[in-house]
Amino acid sequence: MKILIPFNSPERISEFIDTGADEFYYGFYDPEWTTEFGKFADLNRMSGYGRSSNSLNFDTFLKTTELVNEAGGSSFLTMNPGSYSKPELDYIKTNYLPKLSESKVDGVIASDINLIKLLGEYNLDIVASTICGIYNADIAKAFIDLGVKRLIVPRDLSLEEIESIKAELPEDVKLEVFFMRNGCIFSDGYCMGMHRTEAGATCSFIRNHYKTFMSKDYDFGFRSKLEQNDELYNRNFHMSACGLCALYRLMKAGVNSLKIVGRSDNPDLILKDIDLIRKNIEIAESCKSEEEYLRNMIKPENSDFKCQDGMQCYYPEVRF
Amino acid sequence: MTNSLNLNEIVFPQNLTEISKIKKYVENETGLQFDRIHIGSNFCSQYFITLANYFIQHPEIFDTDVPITLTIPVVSQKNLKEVKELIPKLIDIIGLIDEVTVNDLGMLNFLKDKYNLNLGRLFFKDSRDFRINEYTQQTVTPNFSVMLPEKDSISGVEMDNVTKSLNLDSFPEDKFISIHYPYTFQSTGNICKFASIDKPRELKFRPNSQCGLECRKVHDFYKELFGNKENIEENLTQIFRYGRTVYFLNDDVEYGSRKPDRLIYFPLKELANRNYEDFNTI
Repeated sequence: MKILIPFNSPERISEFIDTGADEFYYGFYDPEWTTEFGKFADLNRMSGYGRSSNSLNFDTFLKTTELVNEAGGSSFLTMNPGSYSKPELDYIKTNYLPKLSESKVDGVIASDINLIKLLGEYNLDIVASTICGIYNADIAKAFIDLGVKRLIVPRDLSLEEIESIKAELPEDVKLEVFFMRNGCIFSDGYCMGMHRTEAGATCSFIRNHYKTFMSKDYDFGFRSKLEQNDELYNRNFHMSACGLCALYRLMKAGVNSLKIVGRSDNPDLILKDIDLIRKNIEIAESCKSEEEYLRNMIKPENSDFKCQDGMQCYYPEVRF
Repeated sequence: MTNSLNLNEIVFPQNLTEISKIKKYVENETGLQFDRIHIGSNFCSQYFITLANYFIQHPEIFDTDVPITLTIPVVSQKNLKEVKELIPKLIDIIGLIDEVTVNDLGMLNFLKDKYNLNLGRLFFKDSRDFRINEYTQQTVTPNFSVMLPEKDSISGVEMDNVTKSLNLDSFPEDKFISIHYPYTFQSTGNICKFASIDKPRELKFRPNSQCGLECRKVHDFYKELFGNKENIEENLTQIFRYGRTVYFLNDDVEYGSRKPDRLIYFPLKELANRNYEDFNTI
């Protein structure tokens, strides 16, 4: 199994690879794009966070793919906003795709159907972004028909559903799953709110602003359950996220890559996650059963908090 | 331009009566006249399955001759087989369904050549954000997926008013445009907060978990100022979390020379928290 990491610090490629990372996903910024299409036109899902999420320009991105390649890693370019306009697609075709097709990039993570078709014309390997919303095998097959070779399934799917989707796919189609760092209360594919420095994400507004419950069922018992549920949802649920307990089953299901998220996160913390996942992959490979793995696995740091009730789990059904 | 009534997500077995009564109730409340009704769900397969089974058992509630659009949500893997079996049954039993709205490529492939299809609002991923007033005042040209392989199978599209001004001029002339109003959906997902109200702590907030349609009992309402700081009361944005989905009130939208062919009215204000008895007062 490969470990895919968010990447924003080219000076640390060797450190990441030596610790156990195999694959790197990253994007780039382009001031000319912004001049042409305005500040709300995203090149990728994290463009609104500026250089803290996309530290490279297009030229340094291309050079970095060479460095990653020389170090033995793979590079995936994120080009996954909800959609691109026709003029934006024309710009991408003229300014990026010819050079990308000659670069060392191993795949382009895309969500816009029009871009997916274009990438195929330039013989670039296409990864269906989580923004595609691949919630079932029929959707997966539709994207495979468009030329996609690798799929990222949403983080709000159960383990059993991921296993079931994988079982229906052609063997040469790779599957990538969310595995470490951040959860989400909405669907990546269907959260159309912006992710920007000045506003954060929609979920932070929803969780942290005053609201009124609109209900006719206002007896004390219902009100109490409502408040408790809301408190857990707003203050506990997916403050971070981890899939370590599901590793054995994901390995047996044939999942190819475990994704660490957090393109704006501290690289030192990413390194710790890589180390933990790599050690657990080795443990899983040496185990004969899921039970044995679950007994022997290394739990995440701060597991007293993280592991108490499934609130920080991508796949809580393994334990609860 | 015609008006249709969006009963997706908002009618429940616990309060359903004859569709004609619900239609008349909303018409009385709004002053609008509806020549089409939408049933099903854009956002939730749990809701869709429960309601589809109810409709199959109680076809007599469809007591009008108003045509119906059936809306299919994006269905999670565990429910896919069941939903694919329910769709033809539902269409057979409710003879009024003459359109189906799909929200993903898999369902589009499954139903193409069988029914008159619309691309649903989840196909259109143009940004929208009630918090960013500068963007909300801009004109947006939605990107119809002109290279979509199945475009010939589609007769219409459903979309949201993502900002205060929508340019639909570049849309293909042969495609029927429907716009959802007065609420724009901003975020949705497979995890339903309300579905967990009655669940124990360690089973809360699981994706697409079976529920008791708790969205019938409660929704969240927010009111915040994001734009003009003068006339505060007039400029407050109304935000709703209803079921799995966050919406904001976004009426009074301008269009270019191409206007929508149909407006799909979501009666959240009129129908949320209403009981069977309310509809019988008309």
